[in-house]
Amino acid sequence: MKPLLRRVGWTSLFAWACVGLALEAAHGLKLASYLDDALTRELCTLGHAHGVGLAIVTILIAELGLPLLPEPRERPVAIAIALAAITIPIGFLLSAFGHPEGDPGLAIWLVPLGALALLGALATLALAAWTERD
Amino acid sequence: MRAAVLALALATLATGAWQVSATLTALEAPVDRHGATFAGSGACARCHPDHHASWARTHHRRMTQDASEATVLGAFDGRTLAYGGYVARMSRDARGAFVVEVESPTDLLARWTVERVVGSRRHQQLLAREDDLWVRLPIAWDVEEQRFFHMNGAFLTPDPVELGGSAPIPASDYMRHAVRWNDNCVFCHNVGAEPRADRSGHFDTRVAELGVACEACHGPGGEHVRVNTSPLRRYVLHETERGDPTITAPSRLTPARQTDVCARCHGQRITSDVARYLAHGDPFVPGDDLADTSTPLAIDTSLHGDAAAFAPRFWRDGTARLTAYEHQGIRQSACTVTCGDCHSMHDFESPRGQLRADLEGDAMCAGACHEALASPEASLAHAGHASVRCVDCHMPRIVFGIRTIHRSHRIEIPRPLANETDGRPDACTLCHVDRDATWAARAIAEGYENARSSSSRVEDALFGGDPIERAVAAAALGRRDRDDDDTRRLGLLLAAMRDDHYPAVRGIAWRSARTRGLASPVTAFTATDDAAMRARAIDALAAELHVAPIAPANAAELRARADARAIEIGE
Repeated sequence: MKPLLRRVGWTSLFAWACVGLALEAAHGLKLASYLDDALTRELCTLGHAHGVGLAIVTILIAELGLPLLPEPRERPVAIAIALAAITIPIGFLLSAFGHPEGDPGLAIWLVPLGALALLGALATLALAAWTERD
Repeated sequence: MRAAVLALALATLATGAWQVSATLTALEAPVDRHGATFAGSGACARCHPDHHASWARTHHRRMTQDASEATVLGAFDGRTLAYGGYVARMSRDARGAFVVEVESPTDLLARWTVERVVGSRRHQQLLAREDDLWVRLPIAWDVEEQRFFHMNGAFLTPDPVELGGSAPIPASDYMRHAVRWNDNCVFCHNVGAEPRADRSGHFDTRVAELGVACEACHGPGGEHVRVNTSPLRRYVLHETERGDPTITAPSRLTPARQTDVCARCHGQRITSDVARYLAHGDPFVPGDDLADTSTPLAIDTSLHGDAAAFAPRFWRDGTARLTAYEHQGIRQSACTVTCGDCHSMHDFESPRGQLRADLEGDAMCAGACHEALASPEASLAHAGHASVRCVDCHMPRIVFGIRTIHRSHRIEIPRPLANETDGRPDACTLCHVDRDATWAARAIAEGYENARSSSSRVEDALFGGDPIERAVAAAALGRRDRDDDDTRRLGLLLAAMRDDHYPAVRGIAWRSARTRGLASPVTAFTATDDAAMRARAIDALAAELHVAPIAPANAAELRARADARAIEIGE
């Protein structure tokens, strides 16, 4: 599963870095639809930050995390990490557009789903780290 | 493992579906919010930041505020206001509090610490606490003129007979408009007002929030805030676009109930259960039928058996002639409109009038119902004027508000002769101030070239009308939309400023004189000054303008018939 996580991680990092550039451009070009809506700005920023952060986490887990796991656990953990790395930032980003007043758009519900997957995977990795033989 | 994950996912889905179903059921159940708790506008802002921000631009928000550096508009820099033999001094004490002291030539009449202020657009009134009472002070700040004024110059009462004499006017006259806030202004200028008057006459007045805030129009929102901490409930509301029974959305109400929300304050009314109001406040919750708890005042509304108790507040045809009777005007209108057809609390260009941003100007009428008049050609053919607006003819300025004249909210067709018979001004001669109603009627029927005028309706009213007619005439002479003879207009206004017995009329005449191009500073004339002081000021203004005060040839006869009664406004 390591190649899958590497692909997801590096692709994700590239994609969310591009989103970061787009957000900087929105500031630079004084894009009203972005700058005038505080919630849109916050959600885009959260999407970008989580996207970049989780991409790095995905790469780290591919290189350092998966070796800790027994083989049968690798696949669900890798899928959960990949799922989280995609759904959490996408959830933030999509919910920024066309949101109702005071709340993010419906896509925000992807975030807790991804968060649960991420927490499950991290718990599994933590357990594996504690039970690893020296 | 896979089975466990699948089972967990299915259980989550089932729970979610059940929760959604339960929420949908809850949204169908009516909620009685009479006596419910208020949340305050701060709680509303968390979920409705845009609505909160637009409301925050309104003058409604600043209707009542605690006195502070940020809220007090008046210059409490030690300046004084002399009136009736007393001198009021507005200053700050050592703690920075805002203080008003009133001295007669011999002693201190009163000393108040201003703790709250009311208003922010035209005037700012001052409130001070006296034990369990809040008192509206007789001194207020004019926002436009940037000076203090005495409230005797704001209401429709004549000068005290002692004004200008060697002794001060009676203290009761000086304090004539120092009224109790607890069971008066409190209702319409705050949210959830409860005077809490007991049988012994004591008050323990409370409000849910100072100013006209969210819950004044949406009703108590405590339960709404509580139940909507659930994100699931919020998203069910967002996605289904259903109404939430825990709050009133005026836009979802019927036109009649929508109008009631505004009419609670913009339509003076009377209740048969005064004791309940004084103890617990207004039972009306937005969405209620206002008629369940009160009746709008009308020309024939009786009070303690007096069928004419409120008649002076209306023109003889029943049209309101005071502000805060807009609801009555709407009900009498030929147009079937609600307040929200022209005004908006959240979508307006200017907080001044809060007219809808998407329907400014004549689009209000032509864009809504009168599409046939939308083009300039059609509008010109209809009105016979190139530059007048719909409201100039159909909502004339014949309504007295404090120190100014407003548009009538009875939308109607101008009928100069009928209006004259009813003793009220008409739209035509308020603009054509040198003409009379007969001229206006012939001009409408036969065209301007056939019409002749032997007198001026406005001049007759300025000298021979009752206080509101005189105030309306003084305001009409100040309109800038007709550039006719400034000399005559200014002369008439100077005469009114010098000789009218009502300071409110004199104040409006002074405002009109400045509108017509008088360059003197606003302090060159003070409407509440006595006759000798006014005469000196008028002499100075007349010399500057090279215009003498002008009175019509029959001025003495007109003044003799001028109605000198005081008109209660119902402060």
